[in-house]
Amino acid sequence: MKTTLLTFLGFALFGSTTLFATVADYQGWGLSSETPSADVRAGSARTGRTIIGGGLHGGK
Amino acid sequence: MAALSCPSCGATHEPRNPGIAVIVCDNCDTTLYVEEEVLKAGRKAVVGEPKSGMGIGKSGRVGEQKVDIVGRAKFQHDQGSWDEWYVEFPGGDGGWLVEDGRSFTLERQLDRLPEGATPHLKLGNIITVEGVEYEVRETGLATCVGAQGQLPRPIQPLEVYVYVDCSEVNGTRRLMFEFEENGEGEAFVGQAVAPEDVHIEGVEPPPVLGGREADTIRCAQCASPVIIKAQRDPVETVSCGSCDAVLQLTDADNKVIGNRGATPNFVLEIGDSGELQGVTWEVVGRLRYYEDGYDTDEYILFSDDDNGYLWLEYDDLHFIATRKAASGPSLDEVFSTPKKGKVRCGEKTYRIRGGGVSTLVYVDGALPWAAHIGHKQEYVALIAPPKLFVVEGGNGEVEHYEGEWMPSKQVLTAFGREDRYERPTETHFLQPNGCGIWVPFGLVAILFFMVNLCICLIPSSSVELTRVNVPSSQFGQVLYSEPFTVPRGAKILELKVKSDIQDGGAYAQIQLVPMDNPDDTVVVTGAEVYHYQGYEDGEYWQEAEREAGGSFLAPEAGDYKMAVLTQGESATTRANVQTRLYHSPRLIRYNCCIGSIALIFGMLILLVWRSNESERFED
Repeated sequence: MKTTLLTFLGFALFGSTTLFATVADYQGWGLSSETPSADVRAGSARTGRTIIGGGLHGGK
Repeated sequence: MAALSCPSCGATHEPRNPGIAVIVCDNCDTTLYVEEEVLKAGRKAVVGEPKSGMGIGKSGRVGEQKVDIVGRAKFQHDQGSWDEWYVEFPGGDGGWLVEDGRSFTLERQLDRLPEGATPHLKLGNIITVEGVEYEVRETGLATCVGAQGQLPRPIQPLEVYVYVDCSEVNGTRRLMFEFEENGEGEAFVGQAVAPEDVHIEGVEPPPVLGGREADTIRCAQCASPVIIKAQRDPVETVSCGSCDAVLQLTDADNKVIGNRGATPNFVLEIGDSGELQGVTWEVVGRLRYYEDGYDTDEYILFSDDDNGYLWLEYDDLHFIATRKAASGPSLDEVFSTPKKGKVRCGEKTYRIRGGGVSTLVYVDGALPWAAHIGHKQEYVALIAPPKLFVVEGGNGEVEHYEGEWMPSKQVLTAFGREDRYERPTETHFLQPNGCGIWVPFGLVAILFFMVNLCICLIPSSSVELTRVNVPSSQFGQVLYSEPFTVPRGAKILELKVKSDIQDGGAYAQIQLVPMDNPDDTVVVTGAEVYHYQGYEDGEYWQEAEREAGGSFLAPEAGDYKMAVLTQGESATTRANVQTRLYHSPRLIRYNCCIGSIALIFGMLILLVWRSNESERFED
């Protein structure tokens, strides 16, 4: 009886987590959206400038 | 046939068939030999009435066969006695019903001795008869006590015979030889018959063989009365309660065969009663064996309800309940199989655990066999936890027992001795593996490890959306890719940066700019590459990661271009940098994580289980 219960528990535990993991990996859950800050969106791309390294570099 | 006269008393006898060789005169007990239709007188011998209630002239059934009991021969050996009943079947053929304690065998005589049959056969020798392999399980000397009725064999009262009992390997058929002093012998083959299948008139099935129903005897050592309660089999060993004598009972008297010494601390007492395996048992005997510094106690339990005997071994605070097995493997197989090797015992396969020699050092109560203190027995234990199979040899006899581990608290509680329970300090080699119930869980974990592994290994080719190659000459400038499309439904994008950078570090930042709104930036991400090298204490070293990247959530579907800005660790840093952007259908990090956890769980459980199993074979 205990063995059956533990078998069932194993299927439930690993089955559900595997399902969750598969969906999460397909959906990219946990990934950063990498959305730029308002400063960047304000025009750094438009002007070809970035704020990396604290300095400004000219761009094409 | 014509009636023949007894030369001693003149009583007349009519042989039942031409094959009759011996007639025992029921008037004067003289053994008469039929020679050329004349009776010649031999020795007189009184065999007494059998305890089973069977007798000459009685009829009944053995299994499905009708039988008439025509004659009887009784033999005695060191361990006790047995009767051979000559029976006639309805067609006139004859056979032998051998009654040894509670055991019955219906046999027929072979026309001649099979090849290899000699009085010198040893335990474990194999004899093949009619295609069946038999193994010698018991040999010894027996004296013919006498006979009754009519027999087809020239039985000689008081003559000594060499007997060789064989059993079918892993079967219930029997083969028996009886050799005279001159080496001539007779062979019999047959089949064990369950006592409840022997139905003889006047004998209640199953025959009651106890005989000594609450007999009282006088101790041969101190003359104190010793009360013997009836058991299924005749009691052969009894201990005196007044002195420490161990007595062997014979038909007429008893004799001292040993002194048991001080009574050890047993957890069960003679007369204790309890229910085990659905049967009510009574403790009728106790034995202690010694081996290599360790004592093992054995309790002999008897049940009135036709369940016979149960041997309850108490070893290292654990109980093992064993009973005699109907069949067993050959000695050759048992002794030639290495430790942990598999041996089939009846219907089940066991593994060899090991063996030894134990010595009987104490006995009390009443036992259905002659128990001599100091007697040594060799044994080999085979295990299929919680089951045990024991091949036991000693005194020219091989016996098989099968048993099962039982929780000691359960046993002691059943006998009302729970106050004597001591928690075992060590796991017994037959005890169920404590990790056993987790094994299916572990197997499920391994299964899901494989499921996750398969998911991880399913090919999922990424599609390159765009790339920007930044030559070292343009390092530090912002470069743009050709326009590209993030497809509808895309969830994950992946950036891969590759560089040939030497002696320094660089960071490649990318921005995704929508084509329909070039003033905006929807994604900013990047990756760092580096390469360092040098000499320290005269040894060259280098540390580099020239390929880097990462995944991020894809922006809305649409057309974009990628802006790449490379930046060096110092103002002089220069390197060729390649940036590529991919659309990835999926990641595998969660599946990897769950798969790894499942593998660790599964392997841990299986390793602990395996370790526990290996310990079963350690001494």
